[in-house]
Amino acid sequence: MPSTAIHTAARAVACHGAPWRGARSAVHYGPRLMSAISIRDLRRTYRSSSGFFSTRRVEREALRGVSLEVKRGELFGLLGPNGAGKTTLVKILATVLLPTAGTVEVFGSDVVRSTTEVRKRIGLVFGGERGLYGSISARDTLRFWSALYRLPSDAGRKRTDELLELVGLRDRADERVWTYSRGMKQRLHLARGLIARPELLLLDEPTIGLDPVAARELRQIVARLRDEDVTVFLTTHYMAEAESLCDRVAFINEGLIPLVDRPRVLTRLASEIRYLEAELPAASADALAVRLRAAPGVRDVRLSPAVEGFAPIAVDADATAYDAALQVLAEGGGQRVNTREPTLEDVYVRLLGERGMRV
Amino acid sequence: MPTLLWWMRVIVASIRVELARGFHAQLIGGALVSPLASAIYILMARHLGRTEATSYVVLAPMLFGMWGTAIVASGEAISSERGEGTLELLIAAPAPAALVAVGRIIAMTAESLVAVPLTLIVAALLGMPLEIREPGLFALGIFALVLSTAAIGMLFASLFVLARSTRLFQNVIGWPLWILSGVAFPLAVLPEAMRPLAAFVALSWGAAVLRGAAAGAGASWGIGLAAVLVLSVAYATLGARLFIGIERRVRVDGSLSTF
Repeated sequence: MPSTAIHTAARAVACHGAPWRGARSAVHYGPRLMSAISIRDLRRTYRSSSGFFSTRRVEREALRGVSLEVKRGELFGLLGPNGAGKTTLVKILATVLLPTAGTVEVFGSDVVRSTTEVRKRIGLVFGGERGLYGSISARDTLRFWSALYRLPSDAGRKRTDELLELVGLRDRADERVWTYSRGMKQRLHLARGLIARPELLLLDEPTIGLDPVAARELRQIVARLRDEDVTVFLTTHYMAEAESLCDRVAFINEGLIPLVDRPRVLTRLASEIRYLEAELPAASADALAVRLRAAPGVRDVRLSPAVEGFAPIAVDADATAYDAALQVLAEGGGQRVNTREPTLEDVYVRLLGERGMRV
Repeated sequence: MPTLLWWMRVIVASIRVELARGFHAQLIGGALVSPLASAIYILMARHLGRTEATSYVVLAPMLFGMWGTAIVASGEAISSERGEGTLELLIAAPAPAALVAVGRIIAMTAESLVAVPLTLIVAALLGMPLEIREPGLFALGIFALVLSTAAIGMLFASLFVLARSTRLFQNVIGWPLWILSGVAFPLAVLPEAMRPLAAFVALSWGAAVLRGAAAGAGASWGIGLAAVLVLSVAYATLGARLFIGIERRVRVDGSLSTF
């Protein structure tokens, strides 16, 4: 069951427009010229056909009226489940997809009318294995893209060396890309996106599929971009990534952005809930979980499989039910009981949890 | 950097990348097919006692090979970018993506030129050497045909952006061009209604220049070369305009990365 506070905020946005674009924008974000990205009522519909003679028309609305401002120099995160519209939004910002309706400006240039101007100022990085020529080296890759971004030959060579150093690929710069690990490929992706010193870097799920160490290395490099005054627009569904990196985050779900704010502010939306974690004796864990679920004010109970005789349990309960839930855990022989702070993931699960596997 | 210089740099960078990727199996195959096909035609000509047809039986497979390369290369240039997930990144870059396709096609066409000496060697070994009386003009004709190959490749590449499966198109499109090119037979044997169409195929002019160079020129080589160059510019211009239109279309329908 989603939290009342989160849904109240989401409804307010849906009914009255984005509150962050009202009084707050005047105070915190300054004039529109200060915006790196300015999106107004953006809609994007995909049309396709099916059937033997392609007579059956199918329409799918990927974005259904998105409005958003991203400040210059900001590290902005867009969070949402698969199919929520994250990549569609990134592709529109990158000018590879046109909006069906609404306006999108990057540093004041319209992505439809001033495509060339926008392309000069952005870097685009997709996550995953694709997007690189496997049979050439990292150095050749960067030299090639430096030409496409109009860097003179000498400047392209210098920038290539700088970026190989930055992403830690200098020692293997002349090996073919297909010999690289996934983490190395992703770092090369990032270097490619930075080749022309973009003012805006679009990162579409850059850490997807990376092991924790590789993902952390990549995040450290992204965090360092803050010093270079690069605006970063990052999409991810890793909450911890957004929480640790981003100045502000937005949730996107089914083509709408119901919430956007600083991570700390958003986690406060989930603060009326207490998050309890404990380990229960395996023998009584199921019965205790049933008891907890039946207790008034308990919102969610997640029981994990027992390990070495104890089953981890996580309980989300209203503040009013906190004491009762704690008592049940204590009576049931719960060990290592602790209360943790709400995280962005809690807000995300509360907000989007109902969606489940629906697409 | 002036725009024209930048565009040249993009083409050269694309050629370098294509060459660094190594030889394509399909191109190697194409290069080997030309001398083999030439061997079949030569043996047929010898069997029929038509040894005066040397320029046709040697040049036809060679030129088929070159233009066939353009079709393969243009299809590969787009489908491999799409397959490797780089097509969207190319579109998002400030440089016109069509220039990358041009560079790649030029590189692949250059690779396919290995068919020229191989075919000439096979012809000599089989006793029907192609005597080239004006080698300079012959080389000029080959150079002009390389340009026209890249230009027609650019035209096809635009269409391949739209096509989800390029293979069928690659297999079919060559045949009408071979017929209209008149490289395997004189254009005079074509039905009268088809002959004007041959004038729009640069290969037909280029083949005439090469045959003229082999036989000892003649006064019309200048017109032939000019026609090849004019048609190449026309193909490239049409290809570029088409590419821009198609790029917009795929940005509207979101089909850039679908394959």
